[in-house]
Formats: sequence, C-alpha cells, structure tokens
Amino acid sequence: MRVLYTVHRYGEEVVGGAETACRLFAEKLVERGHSVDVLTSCAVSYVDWANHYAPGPQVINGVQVHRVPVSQQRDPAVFAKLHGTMMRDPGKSTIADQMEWLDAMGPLLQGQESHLRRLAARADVAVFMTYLYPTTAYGVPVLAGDIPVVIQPTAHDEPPARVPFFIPVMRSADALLYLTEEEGDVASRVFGVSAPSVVTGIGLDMDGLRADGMRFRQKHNLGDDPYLLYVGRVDTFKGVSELMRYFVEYKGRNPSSLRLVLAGEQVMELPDVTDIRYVGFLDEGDKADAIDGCIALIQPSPYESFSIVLCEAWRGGRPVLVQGFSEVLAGQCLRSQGGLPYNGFAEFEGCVRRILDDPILATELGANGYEYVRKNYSWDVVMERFEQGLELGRQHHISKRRWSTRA
Amino acid sequence: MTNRVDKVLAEVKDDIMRRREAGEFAVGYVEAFESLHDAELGKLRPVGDSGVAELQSLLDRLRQRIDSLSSIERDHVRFAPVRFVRELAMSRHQLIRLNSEVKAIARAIEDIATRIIATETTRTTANLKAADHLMEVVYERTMVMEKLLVLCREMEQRINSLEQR
Repeated sequence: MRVLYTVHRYGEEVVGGAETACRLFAEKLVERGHSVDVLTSCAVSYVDWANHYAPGPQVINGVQVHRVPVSQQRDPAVFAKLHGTMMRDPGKSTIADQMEWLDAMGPLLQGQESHLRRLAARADVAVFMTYLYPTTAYGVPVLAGDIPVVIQPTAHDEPPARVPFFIPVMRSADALLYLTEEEGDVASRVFGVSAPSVVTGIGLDMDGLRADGMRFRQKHNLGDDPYLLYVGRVDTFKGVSELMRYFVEYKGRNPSSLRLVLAGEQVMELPDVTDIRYVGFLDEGDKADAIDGCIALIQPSPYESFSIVLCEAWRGGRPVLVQGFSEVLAGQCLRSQGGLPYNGFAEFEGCVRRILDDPILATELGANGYEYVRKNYSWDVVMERFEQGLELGRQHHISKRRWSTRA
Repeated sequence: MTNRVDKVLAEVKDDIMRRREAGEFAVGYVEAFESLHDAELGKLRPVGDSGVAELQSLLDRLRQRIDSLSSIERDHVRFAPVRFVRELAMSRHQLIRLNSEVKAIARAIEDIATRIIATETTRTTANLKAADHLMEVVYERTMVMEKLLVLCREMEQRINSLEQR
C-alpha cells in the first residue's frame, strides 16, 4: 500500500510522543513492504515552529520525507493570550476566532493544499497524525472524499478538543486509529465520530536494552536511596508541579531517604529541593538504566493518549503510579494490573506507602505489566492492527463513493 | 490475572478514611493545594458515587460519635460528703472526655462541610462543562442548517434558470 502521512514535525531529533510514534509507524510500514511519504514542516521545536531543516525531499530510514517551510512562526506571547481567551469557552467562539487561534498555534505549511494534492495523487491512503494542529485541521478537508483518509487523533479530553472546528474534520475521516480504548471513548464523546476504528497502541521492541540500575545510581550519585522516577517533558502542564508538591508534602509527613528523580526536556523552573533531582534528558540506554533502578515510575500527566514510558517501565518489570484523572492511564493500569492510579494527595501518599512497604506487591505489579506489554504491544501485533485500520478506511471510502454516486 | 489493583486501591481508600477521621489531614489544607493544581491543569473532578458514599459514611460516623456522648451518672453512695467528692471527681473526668469528643465532632463537621463545598463546586463545573457541550452541538447543528439553506437557495436558483431556458 502507498501511504501518505501528514504530521506537524518529523525527524530523529524531534522530541514528542505523537511525533515519535508517527516516525516509528512510518518506519515499520516500510519494513513491512509499504511505501511511505511524509508531508511535514521544517520545524523541530513546537514552541515557535522556527524552520530548522532544509525544505525538500529527504529519505530517513526508508521513509520519503517532504519538508515544507512554515509560513509564519508562532509568537508564544500572542498565542498564549489567544489560547487563554479561546479555552475559557471554546464552544461559544466564532469560526473566525477558531481559525485565528489555529493559525496562531501553527504550524502553517506554505502551500500545504497543493503539496497534499500532489502527494495524494500517488497514494492509496492518507494518514493524519494528531487532531490538534492545522496540518490536520486544514489538511483533512483537502483530501476527504478523494482518497481514503485515516486519522490518528491522539486525543484526550482536554480543553482544545472542545473547539468546534475539529468536529467536522474528525467526522470526515474514513477510519480512526486509536492508541487506547479510552481515546476511542473520548473521540466518540467529544467529536461524535462514528467511522470504523481500530485500537492499535504503540509498539515496543521487547528485546530492549541491557539495563543496569546501579550504573544510573553511580552516574548521578544517588547512592542506595530508593527513588521514584518521572520521565517526560518537565512541564507544569504534564503534571510535574503537582507531582513535586505532592512529593514534598509526602516527605514532610513520611520522613525517609526516598527521592524523586525527574528526567526529560525541562520547560519549567524547578525549585531547589534536596530530595528532588533533575538529571536532564536521557538517551535510550540511560532511560532503561533509570527505570531499572527505580522503585516505581510515576506518570502525573492528566492528558495522555498513550504514554510510551509507561510501557517502557513495564517492559523493565517496574510498577507504575499514574494520575487517576487520566482515563487512559487509569485504564491502562486496570487492564494490565501493572500499577496504581491515584486521585489527589491522600491517594498519592497511600499508593507510595503501599509500593514502598510491600515489595511483593511492587514485584507482582511489575510482572503483570511486563506480561501485558508482551501480549499487546509487540510491533508485529500493533502493525497488524494498523494495517487492518488502513484497510477499513479504504473500504469505508469505497462504500461512501458508491453511495454518493448512486445519490 | 487477579484484580489486585482494585483490592489495593480499596484498602488505600479505607486507610485514608481512618486517617482522616483520626485528624491526620488538617481540614481544608490538602484540598487547598489540590484545587490549586486542579485549576492549573484544567482538571474537573467527576462527582461520582464514591464521593457521595464517602460523605454518607462520614455522617454515619458523626452520628455514632454524638450517640456515644456520655452523660454524667448519679452516684448512689449515701454519705453526702463522699458522694459530693466522688461526683465532683467523676464530673471532672467526664468533662475532659467530653471536651475531646466535642473537638472530634467539630473536626468531623468541618471535614463534611469542606467536602460538601468541594463536591458542589465540582458539580457546578461539571454542569457548566455539559452546558458547553450542548452549546457545541447546537452550534454544529445550526451550521449544518445554514449550509442546507444555502444549498436549497442555490438549487432554487438553478431550477429557476432551467425553467427560464
């Protein structure tokens, strides 16, 4: 099958869950004998969408990438103001307001429509990654009806999903590929979509890396102190401020040598707290070591559509503590029996105490998580579901065309 | 695979209830910083059955406490001065106990009041959210109606022009 992927950023240097997932899916499709074109921007950073890569075609691991310059950089101050106003009541905004907000958010690709039409002419199916950005919001209407359109929304019940502009966009899809069951529930509830769908998840190489927790401890002078680990963007909106506050309160009430280790791209100020250690961005090897050495991995983000790091912790046999507000994370824990979701400080404290006081429970949760990931998220299983989703989209498109021709 | 997670979570919640009752969580303190972060992250906590059940359980415990408030018993020793001294000592002892019981009740009432406020705030926010959703649906339907109207007008114009031909 010839697949045209559209995504807002693409490249090995690009950090981000959806972007990484898109790259992995594209590369796995190529490995399985499909031909993949990717239409994307020249940007690396979502903060300003500054053009970083050279425009034009480029082959990355067998994937034909077509980079288009961003026509206007994001002005974070202007966008923050617009975003604040829009998020107060997205349902009441006019279409003009919504488009102004989308344009300010970016990225706007120069001549996106003509590039899409040109590349779609030689594709069997078009896949759009994430519902949120103009690459999808303005791109889907260009191709819908002409070729099968499949959307991977990576949606969660967050305020931007309530912007009405996305509703018709999402409903134009011929098929939807979700990362979890809960994401499908959110999409049905928020966008009212009814197209065929498949829950793919994201694949993981189960062989993994040879991890050594001691190596990580020595590298970062952690001694023998037990630590909870957070890996991801160190950002208030990922729940890191809340996590730090809960941790400080926990330590005040439960004195011990427990530490909190934060790893990932830092986009917020960090307080100077002795028991909280920021170790910077970790490569895959260091990340596996960090997971191997931790008591449990913590995922405090309230808005996640999958959370790869959760599966990475389970692959390493570690239990997880997750933000119970996130239906996706709580659902993953309940399905896998591999972690504890907490709602509020009291439950956070209770769950941390249980994990620390009951090593048998911690081991059991980690083992359940490992088994869950092995069964559901090996790449072969995931890609079979992905291909099934593309086929569903193709069939839905054909039946829609037949219906419209008869009408 | 056993449903271990549900079991552990239920135990954690029971433990929280016990500790809350024992006064381990200062009333309003935890809620204050929780709500700060909830607002920061745009979290709207659903008001579910568990919240209502928790309130009910707190109320039941409060009733039990009030029922267990001891009254000062009469002493039946005949010799008046001894009876007086014994009653005085007993009253003092019972007053001290009563004082701590009243404090515990006041704490429980405060806790219930805080939870009612939090629950009501969440419920109001959830209602507002539902209203927003309704607005979106109405908005979307209106857009479709407008498009239909435009389409009808165009068709009318085409029919007119065809008739004129």
